[in-house]
Amino acid sequence: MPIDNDPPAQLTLALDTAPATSFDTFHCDDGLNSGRLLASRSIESFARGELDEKQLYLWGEAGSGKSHLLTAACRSVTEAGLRVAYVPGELANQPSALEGLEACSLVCIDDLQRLDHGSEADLFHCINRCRAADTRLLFAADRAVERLGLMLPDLATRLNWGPVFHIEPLAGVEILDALRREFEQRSLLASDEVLSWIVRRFPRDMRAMKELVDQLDQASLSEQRRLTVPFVRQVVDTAGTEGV
Amino acid sequence: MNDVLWAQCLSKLEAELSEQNLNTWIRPLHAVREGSRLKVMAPNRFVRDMVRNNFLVRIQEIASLLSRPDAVTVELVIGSGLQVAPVLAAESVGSRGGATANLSRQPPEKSEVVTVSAPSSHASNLDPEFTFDNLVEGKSNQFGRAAALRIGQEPGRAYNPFLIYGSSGLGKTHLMQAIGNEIVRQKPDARVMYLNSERYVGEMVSALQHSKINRFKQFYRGLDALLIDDVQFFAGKDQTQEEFFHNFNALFEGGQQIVLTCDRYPKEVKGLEDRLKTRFGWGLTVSVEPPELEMRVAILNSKAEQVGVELPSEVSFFIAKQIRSNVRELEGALRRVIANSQLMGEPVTLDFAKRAIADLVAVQARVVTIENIQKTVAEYYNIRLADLSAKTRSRSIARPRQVAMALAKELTTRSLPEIGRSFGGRDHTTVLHAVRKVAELRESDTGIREDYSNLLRTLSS
Repeated sequence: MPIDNDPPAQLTLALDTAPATSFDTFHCDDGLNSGRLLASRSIESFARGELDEKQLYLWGEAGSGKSHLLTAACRSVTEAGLRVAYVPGELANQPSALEGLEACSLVCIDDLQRLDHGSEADLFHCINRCRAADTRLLFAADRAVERLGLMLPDLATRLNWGPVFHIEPLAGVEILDALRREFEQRSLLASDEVLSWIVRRFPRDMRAMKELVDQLDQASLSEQRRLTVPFVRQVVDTAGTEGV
Repeated sequence: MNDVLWAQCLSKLEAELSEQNLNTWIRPLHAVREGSRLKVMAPNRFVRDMVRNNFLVRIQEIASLLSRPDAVTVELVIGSGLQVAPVLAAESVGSRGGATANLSRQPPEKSEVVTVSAPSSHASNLDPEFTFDNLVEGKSNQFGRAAALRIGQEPGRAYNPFLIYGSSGLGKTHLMQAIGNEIVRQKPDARVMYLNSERYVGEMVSALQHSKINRFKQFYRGLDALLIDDVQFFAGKDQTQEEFFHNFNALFEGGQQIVLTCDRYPKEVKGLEDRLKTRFGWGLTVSVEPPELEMRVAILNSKAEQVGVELPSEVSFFIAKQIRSNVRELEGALRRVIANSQLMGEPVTLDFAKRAIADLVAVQARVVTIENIQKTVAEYYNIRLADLSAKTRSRSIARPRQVAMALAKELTTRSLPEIGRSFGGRDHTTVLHAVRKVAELRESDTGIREDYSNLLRTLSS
């Protein structure tokens, strides 16, 4: 799909009140043995160059926080004054999109499940160039390498070359706590009733919930309203926000 | 290093754009100030076009504002400011030690500066970590290793060309680079060049674009040893094959060593010219096979030792039993266990290793079942699935059945009696016989060795 004339996806203004996507704002209150905290710690160390690895592979279902961790890694490397490249899977299919990335210090390739078979060799060569240039690689997908259905075995073995981390989405009380913190980080007060209403509507999808919190933040500011269930419902209906 | 003005532009853009837009389009850029020009370099055409269409106007506005009272023009080009192709960078082509450029990167925490160093006789793209000393020897690579060592000691004389083929992740690159490192060790001023086929193609295209194809030819024909990885990617690239054909001939006639790797037997590579396939077979062709259990354990111990970790034997046996298909994924599993241990501050015990690679084991266990093996083997040999369980004892059926049984033993955790039952209620001694017979045939019969290797690759990937 040629997209040369289309505007880039998500050309949005940064919202001042939204917390920065960092490792500190990644929700993982569960124990040290859990995949979420381990993945977060690993990627943070990796981004800082403290983990003696050339690449990591992260997988977990949509909304589990993979893109958050990749963005946090980009931020961490950028703050050190280094160059990064973040390539979503669908963009990796564009001609030449994977060329020259070895000039960066960190290359993140997200949503690998969207990589076309025709782009597998390009990614294979990209990995070779990056590893030869000591460019760190961070991959993410919604499934394990074995389940990507890759046609090029050379690519599959390369994706599994470094540590692989699996993260589960937040569930139950964890998700309620995470949502409460999202509101707190924007200095908003949300009652348990409001929190429960949102969690029922957006189960397990933290990304959709964060987008809603941003919308509520804006709406509450512009309309000078407190967050009540009727108000939240009204915002959701007006914005056509996708829930379940 | 990025220009100061560009750093200021970046700060401004960071306040205006989303994180994703920044990370995808802006942060991969590099910029240098050249007088009144700010030369902004995009890593590739795709990023350049997107930046030009969506952000360039704003970048120009910000740059003009920040550079006042001086005028500045932003120029957007493709480039990194980092790389110089060895051939094109060479001042004195073909001269001893003067033909390769070494890309070296300072530790990223210190600086982003990447320099092109002065030409050095050691600049051959070889990774010094790949040596014969740390190449674990086992049944599956014994012959290839011995031949490779001899080539390292007598380049251009022992076996030329030397072609290593086999599935991904079995150590072809290690074996190839060990040859290069051995040649340089024996003769420090030897001109050795290692590169993958993609880079060879890229340099040739670049040389053509810059009208330096003669320099390209001279450079490659002046080497003592040329090592090209993954030649299957030459397939379909006619001009590259043409050029490589002539380079190959020149090197071969000059008694210079050629070492190649391929992910399959070269004759099986579609789109590769017959005259190249023929030439690849002039010297010695060896295959590398998946390592057997003992070798996998030895590899794990060796790799753990390299990173200073003591691996309990029950842990190395556990990992080796789970990851059978290739060395690269074996290393990946080990790296995962070690990284987890370091991050969690826990010692590497068997329980810990089981937890660390639990999902990997689950994925593999789900993939390989006896039914899956039978289906794959039947398709491979073009026989009916029912034949594998039937009483038929004709060679054309019995051999595939034995291969399927051996694969079931290797790839699943099923016992011999269980495997026997899945093949038409056969006795466990029949399965044992099949396993031994196939092991024996893999040593003596190239056809069976190929079949087994192909099936293992299909089932393990």
